[in-house]
Amino acid sequence: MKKILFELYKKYKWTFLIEVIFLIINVYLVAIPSRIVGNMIGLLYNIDANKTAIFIEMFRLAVVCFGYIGVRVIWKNIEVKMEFSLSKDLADKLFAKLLKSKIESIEEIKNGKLMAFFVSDAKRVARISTRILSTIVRLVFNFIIIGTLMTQASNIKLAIAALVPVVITLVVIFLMRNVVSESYRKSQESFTLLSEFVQESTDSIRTMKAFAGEDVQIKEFERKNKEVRNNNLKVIKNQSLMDILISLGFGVSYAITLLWGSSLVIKGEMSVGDLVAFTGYLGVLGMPVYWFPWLLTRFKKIRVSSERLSELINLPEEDVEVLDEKIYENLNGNIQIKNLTYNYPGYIERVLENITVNIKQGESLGIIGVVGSGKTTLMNLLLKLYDVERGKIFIDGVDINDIPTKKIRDNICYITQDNFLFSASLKENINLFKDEYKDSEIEESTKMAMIYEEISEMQEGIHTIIGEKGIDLSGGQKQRVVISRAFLNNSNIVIFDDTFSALDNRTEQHVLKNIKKLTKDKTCIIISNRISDIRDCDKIIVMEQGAIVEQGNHESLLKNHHKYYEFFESQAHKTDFAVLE
Amino acid sequence: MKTKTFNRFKEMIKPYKKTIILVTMLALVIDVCELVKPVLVKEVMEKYLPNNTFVQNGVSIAMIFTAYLGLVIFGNIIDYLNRIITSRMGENVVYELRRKLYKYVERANISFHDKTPSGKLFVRVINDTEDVYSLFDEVVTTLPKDIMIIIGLLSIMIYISVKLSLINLIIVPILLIFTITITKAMNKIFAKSKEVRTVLNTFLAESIYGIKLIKIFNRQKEKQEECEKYTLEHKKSVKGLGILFGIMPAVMELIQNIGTMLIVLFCANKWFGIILDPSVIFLFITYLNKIFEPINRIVENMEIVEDAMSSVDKIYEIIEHDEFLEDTKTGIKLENIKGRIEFKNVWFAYEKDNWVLKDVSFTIEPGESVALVGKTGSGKTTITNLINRFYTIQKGQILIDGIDIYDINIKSLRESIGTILQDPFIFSKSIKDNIKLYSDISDETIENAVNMASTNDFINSLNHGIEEIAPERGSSYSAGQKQLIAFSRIFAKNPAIFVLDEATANIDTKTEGYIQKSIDKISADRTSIFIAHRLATIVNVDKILVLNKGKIIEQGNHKSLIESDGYYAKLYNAYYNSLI
Repeated sequence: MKKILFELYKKYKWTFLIEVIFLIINVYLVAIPSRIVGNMIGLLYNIDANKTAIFIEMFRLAVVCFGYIGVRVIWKNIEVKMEFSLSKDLADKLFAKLLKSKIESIEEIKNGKLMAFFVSDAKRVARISTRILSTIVRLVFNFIIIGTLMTQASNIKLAIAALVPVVITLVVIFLMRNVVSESYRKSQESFTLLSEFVQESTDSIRTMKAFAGEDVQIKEFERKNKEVRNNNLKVIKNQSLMDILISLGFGVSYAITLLWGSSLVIKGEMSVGDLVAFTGYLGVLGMPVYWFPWLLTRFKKIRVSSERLSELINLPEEDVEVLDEKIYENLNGNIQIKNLTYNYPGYIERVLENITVNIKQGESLGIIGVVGSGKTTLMNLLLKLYDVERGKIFIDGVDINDIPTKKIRDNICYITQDNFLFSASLKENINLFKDEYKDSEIEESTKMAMIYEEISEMQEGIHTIIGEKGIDLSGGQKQRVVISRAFLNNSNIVIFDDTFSALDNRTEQHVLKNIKKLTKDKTCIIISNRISDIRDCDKIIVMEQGAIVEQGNHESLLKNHHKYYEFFESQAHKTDFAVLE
Repeated sequence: MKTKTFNRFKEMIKPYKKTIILVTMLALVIDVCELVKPVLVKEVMEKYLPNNTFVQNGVSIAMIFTAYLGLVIFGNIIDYLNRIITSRMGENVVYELRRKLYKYVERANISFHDKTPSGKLFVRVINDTEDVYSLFDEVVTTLPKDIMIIIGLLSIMIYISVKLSLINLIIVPILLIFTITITKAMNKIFAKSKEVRTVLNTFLAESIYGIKLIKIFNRQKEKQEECEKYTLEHKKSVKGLGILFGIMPAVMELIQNIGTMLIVLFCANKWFGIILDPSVIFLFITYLNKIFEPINRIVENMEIVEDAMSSVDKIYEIIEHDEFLEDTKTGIKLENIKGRIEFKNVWFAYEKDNWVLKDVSFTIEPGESVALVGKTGSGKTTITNLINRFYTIQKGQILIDGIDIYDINIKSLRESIGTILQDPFIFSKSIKDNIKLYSDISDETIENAVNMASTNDFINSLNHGIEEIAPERGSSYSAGQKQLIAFSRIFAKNPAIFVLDEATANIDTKTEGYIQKSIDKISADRTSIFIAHRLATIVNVDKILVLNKGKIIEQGNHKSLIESDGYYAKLYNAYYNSLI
């Protein structure tokens, strides 16, 4: 992660250098008005003699003020621009990383966490790192410039004496930093716990009521609520203590300055104007010092966020040269699976056991089995979404480990069971954001998937945007939109993974007929747990707990009177009554 | 601020009257310290420095600055106390508010929850109360102090020189106009940027969700381009923000120095007869500079006040409605109930006159099992809701063991009924706690329940067994596994009446067998009501109630209903034919 951040910053090193220059000028311009006011006060002791001098000082003050406005605007503009450029670069980089990473690794991270990488961690890293850099520069140069100016106004001894209490406070705060960030962490944590608890309660009202859990829940809530309050109070105590310490440190500095400075004035070693300027400098120093505790807590936060982001950055990548276009020869679609056994990396339990299947180009294969029997895993391996051992899966006689991932996926059209649609137009959901198909082609594919009529009834047809103006499709409609993708594709291998579950019988039969037409010369795999979807396949395998327990075709399997027959029987007796409605 | 809102606010801080008085006093002390310190400096500059003396009238400079140091220490201690006390008050107010609100949410009836989305309630309990918290943390802690110091500063400035004060008044409107304009411009950029950010976030969330799809169809390039388009838009959306951030304090500084210049200009020229000692001029400048910070803070805090007030309103709009609260205290406590359920001419509508149940009457004898059959919207679920007293009927009567359920203590009623919803809610607690669910059942009972519901296989397959923490909403568990946990709950609870809304999802044969066994066991010796989707259930029950459009049109068992060749027989035959 540090490397990534370093690389990102490298791009902006000149910008940063310019920022630093303006920042230093900025610090100087903030300090200088104190000197001018001091001069004015000094001159006012003898008004008549100094009138012109006073006017010159006033003019100087005006010039400094306008100069300050200009310099500060430039500096802040650079800083904000840099922050948001970094934020963009980082988000782009992380997104590219996500696209390149292996699915099996991505799936181990919860979606919410992945989202948080982008929404909070990346944003935080970009924002805090830019602010930290400028704050450090500011703090350091404030001390240097103001120290110098103080020495000019009096002598080095007074300057040191005045700065010592401030430095001591900074040291004390630095020593407190762990206690402080610990209290922050705790308060954050208890607040998260409270949020999660409330989230779950508001989602589970019916269950809670059915089990009369009100009192228990309220009691639990009060406990968590109290925890939040107490932890917050600790944070406030620490925070107030730090603020007060700083204020105290400066108070002591002022007292020392005034006392020692007055005696210097009386001795004639310093003018009243110098003393006024000196106290003014102390005031200027206050601002960046008040930022110091903030700086410390941010250091911790940025470290935590970077560590979290490393998790994403370090994900293993697929072999794909994802982003460049390469043209391959098409695959024909002869699939051969030999004695395939598979378990998820790090798990002992076998998901697939000794699978052997042969499908020739133009053939169709039906796979039936209950949820969890390994059907989808088998497809994921075929698509190289998960890594597979050598010598197990071959397409057109070549081990899939020797076929580039991109080629495999370009040549297999895999319609997944999850009928997820993007909040984009129907067209984009069918062509999946690739602008190489004509509208007429897309319409044709929706006709084949039996969704054309319903789409035409919508005001904007295939340009209707999902999720906008309350437009939402039913499960069956979504499924048919997803199926349309298959008809737009010209791969030689087409897979439907349980994609008919929400269709009614008639529509399903129509779609299946169209699929048969589409895949006449193609290799087709249909996965389902309904007999009616696969009965016409050339070959059918029955899977149970990762193994093939039976294979054949519809007729031969029925005759076997075994598992397939059981499916057939149970589907005759068990269905939701809803079918009849 | 509306009076109503103000009254609500007043009610919130009512218990803290004494604290508020104390805090105001403390703020006053802090302000006095702040005001006196510059006077000490002025004294030295006026009386000691020009005369080159260290001691005057027996008072030395050292003594004056020791007093100064004393004020610093004293003021800071008081300031610390003030902060702690005010924050504690704020924490307590928010604590109370959250508690009240949560209690309301838990106690409110299902009608309330039907019309209030859970996401909205979450925002009320968590985010809106945070807004109120900011009000206390940032505004209440500073506002009294700021107002008093502004008044103090103004008074002293007027006391020193009325004319000079009046001259400096002209910078106040400039200051206010400037601050308000910049703040508004910033908020506009923030709002726009937030919008763009939302679009970007939606895109990211969907891409994460659909990552597999993107990979399967090789759309990485397209998605990367889209991502960069959105991030670029986001970057552009904050255009001008840097300038505003830059200009804000810089112009403030300018305005402040204009004040200084005005003072020096008038004093140097003795215009309007203003003749002041340089030390007094310095004092005046010091005071003028001090006034900016509190004014600025008050302007900046206006937004927090607005947000907090609208949040207070939103919260009170919920908790002020007592009519949705369920009474869990009064009513007859059920003991040894037999489980006889009777609906007598029940009429019910969720919304006025939109009758969902029309004159429904039926009786379920103790120990009987009943299946409710009918199309979606025929009123099946409504009947189970009414037995749980989730809603109040408009006409008729529902009796349990002959007692009107609206006379029964609601808690005791629900404790007598065990309901399994279609998609049982799994909490992200251990499986054990999921089965216990709010009660303090012994481990032994739980073990028994797990055995009864045949949940052992599932539990044993988990890495930590029964102590395993379930994922959020049981997301990685199948419908069947969730049902098994739900059945264990029922066995552990052992209610007199059992209500089951059967799942429609595909469940593997093995789990299905387990569930069937559980159903048989549970319904063997208690009143059971099923919203049935599986033929096996329907055929086996003692009685089938066939519902259509909110009316019971037929009742009897499977055999008798088929024989009578009515609506049910038609449904059944149509279904049976579809299979062949």
